[in-house]
Amino acid sequence: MQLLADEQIKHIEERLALASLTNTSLSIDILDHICCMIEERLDLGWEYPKAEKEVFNQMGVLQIQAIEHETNILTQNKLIMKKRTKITGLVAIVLMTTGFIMKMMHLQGAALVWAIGVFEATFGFALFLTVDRFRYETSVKGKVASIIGYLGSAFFILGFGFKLLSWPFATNAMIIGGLVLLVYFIMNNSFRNQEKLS
Amino acid sequence: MYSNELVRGTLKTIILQLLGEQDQMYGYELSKLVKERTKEKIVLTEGALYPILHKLEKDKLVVTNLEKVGNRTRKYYALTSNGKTSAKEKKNELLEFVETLKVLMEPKPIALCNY
Repeated sequence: MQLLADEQIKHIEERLALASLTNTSLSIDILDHICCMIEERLDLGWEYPKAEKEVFNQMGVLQIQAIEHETNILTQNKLIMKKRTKITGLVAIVLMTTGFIMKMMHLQGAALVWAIGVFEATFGFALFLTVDRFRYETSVKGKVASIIGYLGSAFFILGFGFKLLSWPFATNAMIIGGLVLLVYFIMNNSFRNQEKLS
Repeated sequence: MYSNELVRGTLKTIILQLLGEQDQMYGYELSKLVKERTKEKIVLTEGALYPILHKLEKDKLVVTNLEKVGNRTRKYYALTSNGKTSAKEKKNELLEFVETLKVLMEPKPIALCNY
Protein backbone atom coordinates (compact mmCIF):
# COMPACT_ATOMS: atom_id res chain seq x y z
CA MET A 1 0.00 0.00 0.00
CA GLN A 2 1.22 3.49 -0.88
CA LEU A 3 1.97 5.77 2.06
CA LEU A 4 1.12 9.45 1.90
CA ALA A 5 3.90 12.02 1.77
CA ASP A 6 4.59 14.60 4.50
CA GLU A 7 2.99 17.49 2.60
CA GLN A 8 -0.10 15.46 1.87
CA ILE A 9 -0.52 14.55 5.55
CA LYS A 10 0.01 18.20 6.50
CA HIS A 11 -2.68 19.21 4.05
CA ILE A 12 -5.08 16.66 5.53
CA GLU A 13 -4.24 17.90 9.04
CA GLU A 14 -5.07 21.44 7.96
CA ARG A 15 -8.44 20.34 6.64
CA LEU A 16 -9.05 18.30 9.76
CA ALA A 17 -8.26 21.36 11.90
CA LEU A 18 -11.44 22.97 10.51
CA ALA A 19 -13.42 20.50 12.60
CA SER A 20 -11.75 21.94 15.77
CA LEU A 21 -11.56 18.59 17.50
CA THR A 22 -10.69 18.84 21.19
CA ASN A 23 -10.18 15.12 21.72
CA THR A 24 -6.57 14.59 20.62
CA SER A 25 -6.80 10.82 20.98
CA LEU A 26 -9.73 10.79 18.55
CA SER A 27 -7.89 13.15 16.18
CA ILE A 28 -5.12 10.54 15.81
CA ASP A 29 -7.73 7.92 14.87
CA ILE A 30 -9.52 10.17 12.40
CA LEU A 31 -6.32 11.37 10.72
CA ASP A 32 -5.09 7.81 10.25
CA HIS A 33 -8.52 6.70 9.02
CA ILE A 34 -8.67 9.46 6.42
CA CYS A 35 -5.10 8.71 5.29
CA CYS A 36 -5.97 5.00 4.93
CA MET A 37 -9.06 5.84 2.89
CA ILE A 38 -7.01 8.03 0.55
CA GLU A 39 -4.20 5.47 0.27
CA GLU A 40 -6.70 2.78 -0.65
CA ARG A 41 -7.91 4.94 -3.54
CA LEU A 42 -4.34 5.72 -4.63
CA ASP A 43 -3.70 1.98 -4.83
CA LEU A 44 -6.62 1.74 -7.20
CA GLY A 45 -4.88 4.23 -9.46
CA TRP A 46 -6.66 7.43 -8.44
CA GLU A 47 -4.91 10.81 -8.57
CA TYR A 48 -4.24 12.28 -5.11
CA PRO A 49 -6.45 15.43 -5.43
CA LYS A 50 -9.40 13.35 -6.61
CA ALA A 51 -8.91 10.78 -3.83
CA GLU A 52 -8.67 13.47 -1.14
CA LYS A 53 -11.72 15.29 -2.46
CA GLU A 54 -13.79 12.12 -2.53
CA VAL A 55 -12.79 11.11 1.00
CA PHE A 56 -13.59 14.56 2.42
CA ASN A 57 -16.92 14.47 0.63
CA GLN A 58 -17.64 11.26 2.53
CA MET A 59 -16.22 12.53 5.80
CA GLY A 60 -16.92 16.23 6.04
CA VAL A 61 -16.32 18.58 8.96
CA LEU A 62 -19.83 18.04 10.31
CA GLN A 63 -19.49 14.26 10.27
CA ILE A 64 -16.13 14.48 12.06
CA GLN A 65 -17.62 16.80 14.68
CA ALA A 66 -20.52 14.39 15.09
CA ILE A 67 -18.07 11.54 15.75
CA GLU A 68 -16.43 13.58 18.51
CA HIS A 69 -19.82 14.53 19.93
CA GLU A 70 -20.91 10.89 19.99
CA THR A 71 -17.60 9.85 21.55
CA ASN A 72 -17.98 12.47 24.29
CA ILE A 73 -21.52 11.37 25.03
CA LEU A 74 -20.47 7.72 25.29
CA THR A 75 -17.34 8.30 27.33
CA GLN A 76 -18.35 11.18 29.59
CA ASN A 77 -22.08 10.77 30.18
CA LYS A 78 -22.44 14.34 31.29
CA LEU A 79 -22.64 17.85 29.95
CA ILE A 80 -19.16 18.98 28.99
CA MET A 81 -18.49 22.51 30.12
CA LYS A 82 -15.81 23.98 27.91
CA LYS A 83 -12.83 25.87 29.32
CA ARG A 84 -14.13 29.21 28.03
CA THR A 85 -17.43 28.63 29.88
CA LYS A 86 -15.63 27.88 33.13
CA ILE A 87 -13.40 30.94 32.76
CA THR A 88 -16.29 33.32 31.97
CA GLY A 89 -18.23 31.89 34.93
CA LEU A 90 -15.31 32.46 37.26
CA VAL A 91 -14.78 36.02 35.98
CA ALA A 92 -18.48 36.81 36.42
CA ILE A 93 -18.46 35.52 40.03
CA VAL A 94 -15.32 37.52 40.88
CA LEU A 95 -16.69 40.72 39.31
CA MET A 96 -20.11 40.42 40.89
CA THR A 97 -18.72 39.58 44.35
CA THR A 98 -16.24 42.45 44.16
CA GLY A 99 -18.93 44.85 42.93
CA PHE A 100 -21.30 43.76 45.70
CA ILE A 101 -18.67 44.19 48.45
CA MET A 102 -17.67 47.59 47.02
CA LYS A 103 -21.32 48.59 46.94
CA MET A 104 -21.75 47.62 50.60
CA MET A 105 -18.69 49.69 51.47
CA HIS A 106 -19.99 52.61 49.33
CA LEU A 107 -16.79 52.66 47.29
CA GLN A 108 -16.53 54.50 43.98
CA GLY A 109 -16.86 52.38 40.83
CA ALA A 110 -18.90 49.69 42.60
CA ALA A 111 -21.84 50.08 40.22
CA LEU A 112 -19.58 49.75 37.18
CA VAL A 113 -17.87 46.57 38.46
CA TRP A 114 -21.23 45.06 39.40
CA ALA A 115 -22.76 45.97 36.02
CA ILE A 116 -19.84 44.46 34.08
CA GLY A 117 -20.14 41.32 36.19
CA VAL A 118 -23.88 41.06 35.49
CA PHE A 119 -23.43 41.55 31.75
CA GLU A 120 -20.55 39.08 31.73
CA ALA A 121 -22.67 36.50 33.54
CA THR A 122 -25.56 37.01 31.10
CA PHE A 123 -23.82 37.34 27.75
CA GLY A 124 -20.70 35.36 28.66
CA PHE A 125 -21.16 32.50 31.08
CA ALA A 126 -24.90 31.81 30.61
CA LEU A 127 -24.63 32.09 26.83
CA PHE A 128 -21.60 29.78 26.59
CA LEU A 129 -23.26 27.31 28.95
CA THR A 130 -26.31 27.30 26.68
CA VAL A 131 -24.14 26.74 23.59
CA ASP A 132 -22.43 23.79 25.33
CA ARG A 133 -25.77 22.31 26.34
CA PHE A 134 -27.23 22.96 22.87
CA ARG A 135 -24.42 20.92 21.33
CA TYR A 136 -24.76 18.20 23.98
CA GLU A 137 -28.51 17.75 23.48
CA THR A 138 -29.40 15.40 20.66
CA SER A 139 -33.17 15.94 20.58
CA VAL A 140 -35.03 19.01 19.33
CA LYS A 141 -36.90 19.23 22.66
CA GLY A 142 -33.62 19.40 24.55
CA LYS A 143 -32.27 22.10 22.24
CA VAL A 144 -35.46 24.20 22.60
CA ALA A 145 -35.37 23.74 26.39
CA SER A 146 -31.79 25.00 26.52
CA ILE A 147 -32.75 28.18 24.62
CA ILE A 148 -35.78 28.81 26.87
CA GLY A 149 -33.57 28.21 29.91
CA TYR A 150 -31.11 30.79 28.64
CA LEU A 151 -33.78 33.42 27.97
CA GLY A 152 -35.24 32.93 31.46
CA SER A 153 -31.93 33.09 33.24
CA ALA A 154 -30.73 36.06 31.13
CA PHE A 155 -33.81 38.13 32.02
CA PHE A 156 -33.57 37.09 35.67
CA ILE A 157 -29.85 37.87 36.06
CA LEU A 158 -30.24 41.23 34.27
CA GLY A 159 -33.30 42.09 36.39
CA PHE A 160 -31.44 41.18 39.58
CA GLY A 161 -28.41 43.19 38.48
CA PHE A 162 -30.53 46.22 37.54
CA LYS A 163 -32.43 46.01 40.84
CA LEU A 164 -29.27 46.46 42.87
CA LEU A 165 -28.37 49.47 40.75
CA SER A 166 -31.95 50.83 40.97
CA TRP A 167 -32.14 50.87 37.17
CA PRO A 168 -35.50 50.89 35.35
CA PHE A 169 -37.33 47.73 34.23
CA ALA A 170 -35.53 45.66 36.88
CA THR A 171 -38.70 44.25 38.46
CA ASN A 172 -40.30 43.59 35.05
CA ALA A 173 -37.20 41.75 33.85
CA MET A 174 -37.11 39.64 37.01
CA ILE A 175 -40.81 38.74 36.69
CA ILE A 176 -40.43 37.83 32.99
CA GLY A 177 -37.27 35.84 33.75
CA GLY A 178 -38.96 34.03 36.64
CA LEU A 179 -41.97 33.08 34.53
CA VAL A 180 -39.82 31.86 31.63
CA LEU A 181 -37.69 29.85 34.07
CA LEU A 182 -40.86 28.32 35.51
CA VAL A 183 -41.89 27.22 32.00
CA TYR A 184 -38.34 25.89 31.48
CA PHE A 185 -38.35 23.84 34.70
CA ILE A 186 -41.76 22.33 33.95
CA MET A 187 -40.75 21.54 30.36
CA ASN A 188 -37.35 20.17 31.34
CA ASN A 189 -38.81 18.03 34.12
CA SER A 190 -41.45 16.41 31.94
CA PHE A 191 -38.89 15.92 29.19
CA ARG A 192 -36.42 14.18 31.58
CA ASN A 193 -39.24 11.99 32.96
CA GLN A 194 -40.15 10.94 29.42
CA GLU A 195 -36.48 10.12 28.77
CA LYS A 196 -36.30 7.98 31.93
CA LEU A 197 -39.49 6.13 30.98
CA SER A 198 -38.25 5.45 27.47
CA MET B 1 -26.88 -4.06 3.99
CA TYR B 2 -28.61 -4.53 7.33
CA SER B 3 -30.38 -1.59 8.90
CA ASN B 4 -28.60 0.48 11.55
CA GLU B 5 -31.23 -0.49 14.09
CA LEU B 6 -30.35 -4.17 13.74
CA VAL B 7 -26.60 -3.68 13.76
CA ARG B 8 -26.31 -1.07 16.52
CA GLY B 9 -26.79 -3.43 19.45
CA THR B 10 -24.20 -5.88 18.21
CA LEU B 11 -21.34 -3.53 17.28
CA LYS B 12 -19.58 -3.77 20.64
CA THR B 13 -19.64 -7.58 20.45
CA ILE B 14 -18.39 -7.55 16.85
CA ILE B 15 -15.48 -5.24 17.71
CA LEU B 16 -14.50 -7.22 20.81
CA GLN B 17 -14.70 -10.47 18.85
CA LEU B 18 -12.49 -9.20 16.00
CA LEU B 19 -9.95 -7.68 18.38
CA GLY B 20 -9.78 -11.07 20.12
CA GLU B 21 -8.72 -12.73 16.88
CA GLN B 22 -5.52 -10.70 16.54
CA ASP B 23 -2.94 -9.19 18.86
CA GLN B 24 -3.89 -5.65 17.93
CA MET B 25 -5.81 -3.81 15.23
CA TYR B 26 -6.38 -0.22 14.14
CA GLY B 27 -9.69 1.42 13.35
CA TYR B 28 -9.58 1.33 9.56
CA GLU B 29 -8.41 -2.29 9.62
CA LEU B 30 -11.42 -3.23 11.77
CA SER B 31 -13.92 -1.48 9.51
CA LYS B 32 -12.39 -3.04 6.41
CA LEU B 33 -12.38 -6.52 7.92
CA VAL B 34 -16.06 -6.27 8.86
CA LYS B 35 -16.94 -5.00 5.39
CA GLU B 36 -15.02 -7.78 3.65
CA ARG B 37 -16.07 -10.62 5.91
CA THR B 38 -19.76 -9.75 5.78
CA LYS B 39 -19.63 -8.94 2.06
CA GLU B 40 -20.71 -5.38 2.86
CA LYS B 41 -23.84 -6.55 4.67
CA ILE B 42 -22.50 -4.90 7.82
CA VAL B 43 -20.64 -1.64 7.42
CA LEU B 44 -18.79 -0.28 10.43
CA THR B 45 -18.89 3.47 9.84
CA GLU B 46 -16.39 5.82 11.47
CA GLY B 47 -19.27 7.43 13.33
CA ALA B 48 -20.11 4.14 15.01
CA LEU B 49 -16.64 2.61 15.29
CA TYR B 50 -14.57 5.27 17.08
CA PRO B 51 -17.07 6.22 19.80
CA ILE B 52 -17.34 2.52 20.71
CA LEU B 53 -13.57 1.99 20.64
CA HIS B 54 -13.08 4.97 22.95
CA LYS B 55 -15.84 3.73 25.25
CA LEU B 56 -14.17 0.29 25.39
CA GLU B 57 -10.89 2.01 26.22
CA LYS B 58 -12.54 4.01 28.98
CA ASP B 59 -14.08 0.83 30.38
CA LYS B 60 -10.59 -0.73 30.31
CA LEU B 61 -11.67 -3.51 27.95
CA VAL B 62 -9.07 -2.44 25.39
CA VAL B 63 -5.69 -0.75 25.61
CA THR B 64 -4.10 1.41 22.94
CA ASN B 65 -0.63 1.51 21.55
CA LEU B 66 0.72 4.31 19.35
CA GLU B 67 3.02 3.40 16.49
CA LYS B 68 4.64 5.43 13.74
CA VAL B 69 3.47 4.43 10.27
CA GLY B 70 5.30 6.39 7.62
CA ASN B 71 4.86 10.02 8.59
CA ARG B 72 1.88 9.67 10.85
CA THR B 73 0.84 8.06 14.10
CA ARG B 74 -1.43 5.05 14.16
CA LYS B 75 -3.33 3.90 17.20
CA TYR B 76 -3.63 0.16 17.69
CA TYR B 77 -6.28 -1.36 19.92
CA ALA B 78 -5.79 -4.61 21.83
CA LEU B 79 -7.98 -6.51 24.28
CA THR B 80 -7.13 -6.48 27.97
CA SER B 81 -7.75 -9.60 30.08
CA ASN B 82 -11.10 -8.09 31.12
CA GLY B 83 -11.79 -7.42 27.45
CA LYS B 84 -11.11 -11.05 26.55
CA THR B 85 -13.55 -12.24 29.22
CA SER B 86 -16.13 -9.70 28.10
CA ALA B 87 -15.68 -10.74 24.44
CA LYS B 88 -16.43 -14.37 25.32
CA GLU B 89 -19.45 -13.45 27.43
CA LYS B 90 -20.85 -11.11 24.81
CA LYS B 91 -20.32 -13.64 22.03
CA ASN B 92 -22.15 -16.36 23.97
CA GLU B 93 -24.93 -13.96 24.85
CA LEU B 94 -25.34 -12.94 21.20
CA LEU B 95 -25.35 -16.53 19.95
CA GLU B 96 -27.97 -17.46 22.53
CA PHE B 97 -29.98 -14.44 21.47
CA VAL B 98 -29.83 -15.55 17.82
CA GLU B 99 -31.03 -19.03 18.82
CA THR B 100 -33.88 -17.50 20.81
CA LEU B 101 -34.81 -15.34 17.85
CA LYS B 102 -34.89 -18.42 15.64
CA VAL B 103 -37.30 -20.14 18.03
CA LEU B 104 -39.42 -17.02 18.02
CA MET B 105 -39.38 -16.43 14.28
CA GLU B 106 -39.65 -20.07 13.16
CA PRO B 107 -41.99 -21.72 15.65
CA LYS B 108 -42.27 -25.50 15.43
CA PRO B 109 -45.78 -26.75 14.57
CA ILE B 110 -47.68 -27.89 17.66
CA ALA B 111 -48.25 -31.64 17.63
CA LEU B 112 -51.92 -32.51 17.73
CA CYS B 113 -53.06 -35.48 19.76
CA ASN B 114 -55.50 -37.91 18.18
CA TYR B 115 -57.97 -39.29 20.64
